[in-house]
Amino acid sequence: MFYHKFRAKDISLLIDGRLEDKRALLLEEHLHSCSRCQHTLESFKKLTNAMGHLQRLNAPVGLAQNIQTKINTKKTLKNPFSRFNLIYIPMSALGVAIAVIILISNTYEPLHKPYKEVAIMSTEEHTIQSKAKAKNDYKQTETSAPPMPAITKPFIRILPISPNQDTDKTVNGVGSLSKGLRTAKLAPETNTSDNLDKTLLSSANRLITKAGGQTIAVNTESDTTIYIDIKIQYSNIQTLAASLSNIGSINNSIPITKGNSEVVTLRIELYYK
Amino acid sequence: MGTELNSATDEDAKSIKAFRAGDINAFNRLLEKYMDRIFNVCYRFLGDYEDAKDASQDVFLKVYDSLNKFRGDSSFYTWLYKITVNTCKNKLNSIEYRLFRKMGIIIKKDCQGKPNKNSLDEYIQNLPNGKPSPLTLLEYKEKELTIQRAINSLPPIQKIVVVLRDVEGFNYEEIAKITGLNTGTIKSRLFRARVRLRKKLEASL
Repeated sequence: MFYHKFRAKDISLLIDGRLEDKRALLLEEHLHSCSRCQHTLESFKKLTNAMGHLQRLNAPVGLAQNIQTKINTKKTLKNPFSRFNLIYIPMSALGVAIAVIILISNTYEPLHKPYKEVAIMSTEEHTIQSKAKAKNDYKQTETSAPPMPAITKPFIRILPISPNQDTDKTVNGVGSLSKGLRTAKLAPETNTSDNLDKTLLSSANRLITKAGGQTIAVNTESDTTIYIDIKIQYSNIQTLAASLSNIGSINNSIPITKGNSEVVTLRIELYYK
Repeated sequence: MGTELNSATDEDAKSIKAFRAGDINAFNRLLEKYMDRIFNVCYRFLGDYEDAKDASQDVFLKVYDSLNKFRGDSSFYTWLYKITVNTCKNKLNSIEYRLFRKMGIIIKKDCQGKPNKNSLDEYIQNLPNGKPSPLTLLEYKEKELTIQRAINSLPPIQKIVVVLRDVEGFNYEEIAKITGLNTGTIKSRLFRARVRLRKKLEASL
């Protein structure tokens, strides 16, 4: 919207006295000769004049009172100790009481614990009493259940042995094999017990029998390993290995080759690392 | 407008000090002093008597709540107008208000372009004490309503700027303080508003 050299915006600014002095002089000069710009100036002047003379309305009656009432209501709600606020006080008092009770119950420790009764006795009496106490403590230790060892699974190795090998002789320098079931300690000592060995052996024997094997000899004399020599059908070895994996971790890949005979002799080593 | 208010700033400062000291009457004095002016601005911004009533009530409640936080960086009336402008701007921008306005316009159209009876009665009650002839009164009233309708049709910022400048008589710097706009923006918004109004009111001015 151009009016020759001047925009309508310049005329709007001229009305407000906000046009630069130099430009204002030029515009005023221009206005003498330009009816279009004169008309724009007149229309803007009329508009601002009408706007400036719009009726000034008075605030509605009661507005001040409404505001004051609202302020008073706000003040009452904000002030918990206001005598008008009958619900707020019991509620806040109840809250404080609950908080105090919780705090006390969590932190309370009797400051003065009840004194222990101390018997006054002679040295002799004291010695007798001490001995009796020691005896009692010892009994308690004896009768109380032994601590349960941590159950760890043994490792299992299945090795082929020669069918002609004398199973009663020393094998791998571990010790002599003997028939029958005996118990021995297994390492680590803290983790084992005789009961545990028996359980382990009986489990192993049960699984061997179930897989169609036959126990030839058992050696439990070693502190670390139980040796079980067995005879088993070649076809049943995999079944046996699968069964034994329930009681321990099989630690080798069973390098057994089929010989002339269908029955093979194996040594099962149960050991803890 | 500016000088009139500037002369009152000392008085306002005293009232604020007294209010901070716990004198509730000091707030009432400020309320009495500015209530009409704030209501009038709200009416020009919102174009509805009831809305202006609610808005001016909100303004004074906000003033009451935050008068203790008033730091005195600007004069009290600038701060008061700032709150007024923000309150009205929020109202103008709210979806509910826009919907209400749409519905209101439909109702007014049904009434052959005249405002509802209650507003009209209140409007007549608030006219100056002179006794103009019924015809003059009617013409005056019609002109007023036409101008107000034209103001209502402006976008919010243009409306705020033109009301503050042409109705309330604030200068550009004061408008900048109140609205937070820079002077360049005020100039352009004011010009656009005037062009729009001139176009709408050409026949009636």
